[in-house]
Amino acid sequence: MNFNLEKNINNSIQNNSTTAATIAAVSTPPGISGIAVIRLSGKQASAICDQLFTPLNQNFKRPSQMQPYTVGVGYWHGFEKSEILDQVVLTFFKAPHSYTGEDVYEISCHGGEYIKEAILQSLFDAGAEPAGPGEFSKRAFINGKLNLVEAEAVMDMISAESSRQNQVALQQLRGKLSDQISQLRDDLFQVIAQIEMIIEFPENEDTLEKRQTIVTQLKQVKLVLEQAVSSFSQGRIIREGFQVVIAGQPNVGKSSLLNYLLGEDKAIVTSKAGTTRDIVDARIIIDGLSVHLTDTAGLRLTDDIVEKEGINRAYQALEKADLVFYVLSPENPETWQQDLTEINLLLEKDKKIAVIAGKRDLSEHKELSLYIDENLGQLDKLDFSAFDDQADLSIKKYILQTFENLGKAESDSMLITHLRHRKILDQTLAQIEQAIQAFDGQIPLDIVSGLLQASAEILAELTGDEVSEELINTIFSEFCVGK
Amino acid sequence: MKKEDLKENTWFAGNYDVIVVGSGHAGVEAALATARLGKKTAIFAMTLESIANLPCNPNIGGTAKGQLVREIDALGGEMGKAADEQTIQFRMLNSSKGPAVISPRAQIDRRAYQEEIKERLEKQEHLELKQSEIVDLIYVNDQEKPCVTGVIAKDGMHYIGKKVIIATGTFLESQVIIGDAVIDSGPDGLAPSIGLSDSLRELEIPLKRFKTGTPVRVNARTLDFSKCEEQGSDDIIVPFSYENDENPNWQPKAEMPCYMTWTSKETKELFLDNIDRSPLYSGVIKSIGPRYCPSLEDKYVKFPQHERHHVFLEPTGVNTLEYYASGLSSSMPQDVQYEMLKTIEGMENAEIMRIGYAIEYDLIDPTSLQLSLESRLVDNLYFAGQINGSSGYEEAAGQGLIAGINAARSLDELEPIVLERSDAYLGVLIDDLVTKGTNEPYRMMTNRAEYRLVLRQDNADRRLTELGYEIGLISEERYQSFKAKIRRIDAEIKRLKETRIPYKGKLSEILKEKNSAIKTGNVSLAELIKRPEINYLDLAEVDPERPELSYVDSFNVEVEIKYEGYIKLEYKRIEKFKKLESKKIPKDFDYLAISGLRAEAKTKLDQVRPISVGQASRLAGVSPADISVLIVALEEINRRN
Ligand SMILES: Nc1nc2c(ncn2[C@@H]2O[C@H](COP(=O)(O)OP(=O)(O)OP(=O)(O)O)[C@@H](O)[C@H]2O)c(=O)[nH]1
Ligand SMILES: [Mg+2]
Repeated sequence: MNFNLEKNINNSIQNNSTTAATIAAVSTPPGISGIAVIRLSGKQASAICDQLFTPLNQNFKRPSQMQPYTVGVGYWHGFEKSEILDQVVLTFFKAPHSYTGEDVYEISCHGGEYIKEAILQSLFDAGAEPAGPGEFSKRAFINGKLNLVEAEAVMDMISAESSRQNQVALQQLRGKLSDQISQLRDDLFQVIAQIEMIIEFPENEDTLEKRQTIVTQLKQVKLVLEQAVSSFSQGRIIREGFQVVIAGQPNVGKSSLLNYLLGEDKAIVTSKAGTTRDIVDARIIIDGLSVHLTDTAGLRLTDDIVEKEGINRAYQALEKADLVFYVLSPENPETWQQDLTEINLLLEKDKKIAVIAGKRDLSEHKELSLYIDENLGQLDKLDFSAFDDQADLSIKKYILQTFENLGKAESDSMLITHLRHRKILDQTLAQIEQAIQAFDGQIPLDIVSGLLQASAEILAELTGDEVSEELINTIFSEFCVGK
Repeated sequence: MKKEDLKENTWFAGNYDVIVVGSGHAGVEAALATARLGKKTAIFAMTLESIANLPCNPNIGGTAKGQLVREIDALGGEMGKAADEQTIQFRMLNSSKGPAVISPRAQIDRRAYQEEIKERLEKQEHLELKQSEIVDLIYVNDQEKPCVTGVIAKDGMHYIGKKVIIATGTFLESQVIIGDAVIDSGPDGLAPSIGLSDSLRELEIPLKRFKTGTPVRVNARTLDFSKCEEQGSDDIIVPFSYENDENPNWQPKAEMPCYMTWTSKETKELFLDNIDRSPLYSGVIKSIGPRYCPSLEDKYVKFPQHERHHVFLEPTGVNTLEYYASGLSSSMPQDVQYEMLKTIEGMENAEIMRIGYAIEYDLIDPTSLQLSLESRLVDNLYFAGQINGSSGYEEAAGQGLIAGINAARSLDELEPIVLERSDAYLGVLIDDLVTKGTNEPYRMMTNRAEYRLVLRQDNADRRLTELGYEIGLISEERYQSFKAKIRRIDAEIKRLKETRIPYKGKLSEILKEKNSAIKTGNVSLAELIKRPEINYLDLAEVDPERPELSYVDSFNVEVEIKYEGYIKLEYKRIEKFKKLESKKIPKDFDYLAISGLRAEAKTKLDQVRPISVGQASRLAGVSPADISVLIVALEEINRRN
């Protein structure tokens, strides 16, 4: 341990306000574009703009005279009005109702590299300072315009494919997940309290029996954590999309269903059984949820090696399915028995299946519907006809519902969608496993208590109950200059 | 009173660098520290007979407190050394509960301890010991905040001091309560200190009121020890002071056993029948008592499932038959306390020498202090000990030492010593009091320390001697012997890791006896020590090259090896913790300009002015979200400057 007794804490700073400097940066991505936006934020923003901007005509005011949230059109000059650089549109946001919480001017200029550089340079010459990476967002954060959870969500949103992906992550983080983690921490604290009771009071002996009770409780905590960690694969759905695989006998209308949902003729449809051979993949977005549709070859016994391979691939696709649309057609009742066998095989593999009673427009549909009700009553049944304009909505709604129920069905356990959360849970789990081992291995109680304390601390970072610098740093490091 | 209001008839009695008011454990450490650091110091006792009194339990150390005593010793304090001279029984507590919570405790010859300390004060250069009751503070108020310049005694004399340390313990406006008798009195029948509270109020220092209590003392002639369980000293007796650890001639003053007995069903009935007569429950006592040191009536009410409770009969000295009845702390009326003894095995005929009582006293709200223990509200005024809301001799002594060190350093214009929570229990103690405050007498406990596996009694010197030396309270001689010792221990740990012996002969015999795995080939001694069932001492026979180490040192070696992995883990946690602690906040930081902070947090931070982001994070009313904002704001300022 090194004590530096002479250390003199820097006790005074010139100005504690982070708004000391007025900062500027190009906020649109680098490269040539139609227009670019340069952002200027800070106390001096209007004074700086006044030096460099001349309104086009009397309809527009000088920057410092502009009404908040209005635009001005005019010429942008080099420093000390040397030359006209561009004709620009200026937007004024007044503190505190701006992105950073400070006075902000956004200069929309033409997107050439030279112009952007020249305007930026003029701003620096007039007293602005270059903004660091994420500095606008940091100011927003310091000024209470953005909190950390929101910031983390913002990052998710940037990297998310669909709005749904982010919404789910955010909802998890704010609501259910935090609650569940807090519950886990409470459970851990309960265990710690019991251990501390034994440590603190001399009349409480450290007995095998007491250790066993505590281990049992710990194993419960461990179980919940393990479930949570494994639910990360459900989080995968959100990240990678919801996998819907369409299967069934040949010619039942599988490809027609795919095309119907997709709204284009992607898969070949013919009246010949065995049309589809290879896997046909398509992606649709339903209410922000990314859904991967897979059309497959009709399942039947065949000697055709191409079809055989197609059927193999159909089974492989089914392995990965989050939801199977199993299509039956009213046209061939003799094969329905076979369908029951296929469906049962899939059920054994814990697949979520919806039975599509297809070709609803045909008169024999009634018998099919009855047959399904009698033999597959426990499964969801959807009536469908490729010739019905309204069917689209109900099937899409069904997909969405199924996805949402996936979370609800597991509402007791956690749904982990975020890699950061997953890492934290992994660490916690490792700590608790170590604690359980220590318990079994006659390690003294104070040490076990320490291990559990460490676990609780790690968990607290997930919910934000403990300040995580790592989180702060990752969040702001992912923002680039101009953000 | 204000300096300009000083009456002409108060006689100026002296000029000091430091004035210490109160001569309990806090005052004693404070005064010795400032005097040893070369500051002209005066310490005041209301009576010279009450110096370093142990008005409650006649022992020093115990769980977490033993660690404190060792830390005090490592920094150059006095309590450990004096206790070692007056030890009449010794036990290492919690040996079965783990290396972090193992704590030394010694029974102390109480009167002799007081004389021991008094003599040490008398012999101390630069230190004047004075009997006089201080009733008022002198201050000037021409700056931003008031500044204390001296003290006024009851006898009309006044003393000028550059720094004033208040260490008045439980004496301020104290009242002793026994049943419905309320007596203006300090502990042990000593006079209360009246007046100083008003003086503090005049300076707008917020005051609170706490309650604590103590059990009966009985005459051993009337105790039947044959009905009790005898508890002698441990086989191995370890001194508190690292100086005595090195001294082969050190031995305890005497060997006096304690005795254990139990309360009975009748005791419980008696108390429950009379519970409405307890001042705690009748409403006479409104202040808050210590949860962790409850009175017997408290125990019956709060733990109704427990039928009986331990009673320890502890000797209070070599030349006295007075025994302390630990566990019987009570403020029940006298007749109930007399009846109570009749229901306890071995105490049926016990003669009460001093009755148990509760005591109420004024204290300051410790959140009005800085981590240096100087007041935030008044310059040059320091507080230490029970007046800050702590309980216990060791907690008091520790604060006294730190207050003394910091008063002296301030005179030398040096930065104050602020120990971190990961450095010492002393750091935890002061940070808890100052940052979080307390609603009951604060007793140190091991689980208040987040990193207790590192804050052990066997390594307090390793943690703090260097600092004690730099401060100037550890002599060159002791420092050199400390360094030699550290080298010895490190070399021994290295040797144990490198020495490999075969699983044969004597070793396999030892392992068999300990039910420990026997494998083929060789094994390092360190690997063997890592097994929970094997101790360092167990391997002496198969390890002839082993150097001679003191008990504490060999314990240290063993812990460092056995729990190496866990200790490393703790250091990792500390590293994380220190990140926030090392983010210092400038003294004049403008929290009000940070609009991202919630209003409650802004006010609190602005008022307390924490020294680091870490301290800020422990303030009530400051949320993790606020801390994140603070971190980013500080970073941005640093980057911009
Ligand atoms: N009446 C009616 N005919 C349909 C419907 N859907 C599909 N068909 C017809 O059924 C035949 C087969 O359709 P596909 O979509 O190719 O069937 P499939 O299941 O993909 O067939 P394979 O790829 O051979 O396995 C075609 O002639 C379609 O026009 C429907 O809802 N109603
Ligand atoms: Mg097809």
